[in-house]
Amino acid sequence: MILEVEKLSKIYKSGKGVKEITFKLKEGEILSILGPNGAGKTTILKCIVGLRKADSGIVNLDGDFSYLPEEKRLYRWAKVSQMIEITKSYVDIDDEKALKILNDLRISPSEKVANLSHGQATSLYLALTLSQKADLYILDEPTWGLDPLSRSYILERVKEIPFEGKAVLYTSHITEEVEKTSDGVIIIRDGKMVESGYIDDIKEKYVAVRTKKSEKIEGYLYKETSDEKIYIIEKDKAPRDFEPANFSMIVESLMRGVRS
Amino acid sequence: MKKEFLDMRVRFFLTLIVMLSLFFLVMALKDWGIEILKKNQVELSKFAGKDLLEKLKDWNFYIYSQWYGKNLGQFIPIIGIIFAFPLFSREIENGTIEYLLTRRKRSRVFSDKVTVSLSLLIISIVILSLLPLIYTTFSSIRFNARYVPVLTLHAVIGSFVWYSVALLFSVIFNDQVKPLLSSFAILAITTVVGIIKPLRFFNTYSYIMSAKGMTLEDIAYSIISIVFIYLSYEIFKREEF
Repeated sequence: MILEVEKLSKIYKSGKGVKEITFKLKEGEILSILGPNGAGKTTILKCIVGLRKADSGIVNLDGDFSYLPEEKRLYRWAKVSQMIEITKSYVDIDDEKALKILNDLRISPSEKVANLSHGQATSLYLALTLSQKADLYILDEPTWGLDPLSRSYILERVKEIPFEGKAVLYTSHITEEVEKTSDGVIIIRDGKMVESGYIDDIKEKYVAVRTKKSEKIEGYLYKETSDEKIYIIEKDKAPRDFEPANFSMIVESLMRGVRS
Repeated sequence: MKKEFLDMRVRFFLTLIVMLSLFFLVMALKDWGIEILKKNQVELSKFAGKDLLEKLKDWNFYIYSQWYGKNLGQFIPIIGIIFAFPLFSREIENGTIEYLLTRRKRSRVFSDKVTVSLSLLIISIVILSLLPLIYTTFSSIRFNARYVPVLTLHAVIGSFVWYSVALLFSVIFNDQVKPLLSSFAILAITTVVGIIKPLRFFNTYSYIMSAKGMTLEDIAYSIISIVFIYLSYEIFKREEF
């Protein structure tokens, strides 16, 4: 096990935060944390990497990590090549890999960080993070702000990581992206875990049930139209006339958390 | 450490350029300044005594009073503050602190920053303090450098005090304006409070510009600075980002 998190809690003065988060991550796996904005995804990652101190709980990280923060800010006075040099002076990085990623994403090493667009700055940060030699890659919203081509390129690089025996923990709010890349998922709402497990198991666990608008059943409301409601409900609790639910429907319903 | 130097190079070279320019201006304007004062001799004698003009003609008096006692002396605390105030606050404000802290241990981040900035500060202050000595060695001016070592020591310790104050604010605040303003506010308050004789210790200017040999103040100011730096480290170690 590369990472074990047990009953991790961190509550801010505002009352927001995360409560009793528990999960494990094995080598060769990608685990995603899904949740709406402000649900606590970044807090979990920050507690794992030591930027924030958890109020309680245990974080057991067995190995080196490479971290991509939510705010991808680098030194504006530096050139791209200098950022590689600086990073190399701190951690063990494969600079050839970094240069290849930058070349593939058409970012010149002689360019100044200050002159990069938001997407290019994110790509540079990703190149530095993914080329770092680590056992666990912790990526906070890695594709946010990237154009579709760069996004699919980066996701391909992320998907390669488990084949080297390494693990990936990443947050996202794009369900389709998570479904394509990850083995497991944690869904959080208001700082609490509402579901976790392998994606295939979660897809197997839930189904969709259509009811008349006036009708109420025990489940998560997915959609409400003028004449019907669609609920996401656990298969073993569902009435006979259920339909298969896709992953997006399940995640959206669990994240929204509107129960009847 | 290279990154820390790259981060500080503008401040370091700009400070040196500004202060070097100021020094050569002070040297070049000696005769012109005396001429101006001569024209206002009557008013001047009311405040500064009759022999000031004669004294100023002497290079020793001119350098000690106008460089160490005025221009450099007044800038020492400001240089200390300028070198320290953005050290952590800029990283926090710009969001680059996360990049640093997830790639280096906190103790290493702190020690690298303090080592590089303090070294550059001491180098700057020593160069600026020794400037008259260097300049007069290569010119026809005869300069008695008797007080230079002690004034250099006071300049280094004086800048160290204000460096450590600004460093503490730099760790506490998460933007660059607050540490700068807070440090200047403390400098202004301590200078005013230090006018009162029993509280003279608070006025670092009188210490920086004094040519008295080794005193208790040297040790006291050094200890205060070390305590502030240690406090900054303890706060930084526990800070959440």
